Amino acid sequence: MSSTEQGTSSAAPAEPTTAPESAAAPEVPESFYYVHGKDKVVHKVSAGALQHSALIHGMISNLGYTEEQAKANPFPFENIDGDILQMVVDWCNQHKGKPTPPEDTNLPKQKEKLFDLVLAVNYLEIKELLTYCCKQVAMMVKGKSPEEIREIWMIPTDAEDEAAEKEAKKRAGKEAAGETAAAAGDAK
Amino acid sequence: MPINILSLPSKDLQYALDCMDIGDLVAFSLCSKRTKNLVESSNRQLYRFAVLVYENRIRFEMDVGTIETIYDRVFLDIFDFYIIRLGDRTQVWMRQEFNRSDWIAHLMNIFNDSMITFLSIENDSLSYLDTIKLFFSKMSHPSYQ
Repeated sequence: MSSTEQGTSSAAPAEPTTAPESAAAPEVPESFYYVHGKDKVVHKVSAGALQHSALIHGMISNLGYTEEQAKANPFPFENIDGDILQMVVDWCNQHKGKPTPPEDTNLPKQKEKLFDLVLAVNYLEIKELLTYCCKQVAMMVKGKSPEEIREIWMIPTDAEDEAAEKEAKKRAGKEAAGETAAAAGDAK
Repeated sequence: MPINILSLPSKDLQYALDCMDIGDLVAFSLCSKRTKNLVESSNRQLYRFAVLVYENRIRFEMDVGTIETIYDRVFLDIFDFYIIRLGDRTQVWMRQEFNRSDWIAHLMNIFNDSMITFLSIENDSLSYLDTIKLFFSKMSHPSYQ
């Protein structure tokens, strides 16, 4: 015991004779689950860290996997890039069982990664991380002019929107006509 | 590399808009009709919405927050064809097809649910009257000067 600790303990009330309950109780071994992204690299994540994801938490609750079963059947997230899933796993591990701080400075600064992260986090239903990511997206255009915002966020002009809408209508019309012709062919 | 914000899931896009400052939100609303509609449907509430009519311009002062804490404030000076955002980085936003009434209509539309809390008219020329009339229906109480 250090001198500081000794000093503190002498001033403190007498310690209870029995050991604290938490120390006496046998520790419950933490269960782990496995996830993989598009790159098939498997990440081992504790159930505590995965609590952040409402989607995975729901999957775990419904499946009732044992650790062996979980190891043999990693949760596949084929729509998420490996590096993005790694970021999500790291974030969940860092914030396991901790209250989430109001700001998170560890998020990626590269815009394209941030966008993929938003999509992944939205899919995995990690509310706190989604909040940080959306704030980061908003920060991209802080103090920018409409022209700069249009460029950063790839916003089409009204003319481009109208042209895209016309094109979509034309395509839908063609598809509908094709389906009608196919149905008529089937009837014959 | 730019990102396509409009392809985000609508809930996330809405949250990103909720995180934006008022001035940035106005700038975003000026990008296209679609972005204007998005800002309009985000229903951002202003705590204080003051309009000051001067000889050569109309100033909009918009605050977000509460009486204790104003955490976001923007000043916009409206002219024909352009608007000036005052602040650390003063900006001029141009719209050749806009006149003063169009700017005002745009701003009143995007903050549709917010009432004007203060109106000061320091120019009583008749040419301005039609423009000023736009404000009367949005007054929260008759406290104009």
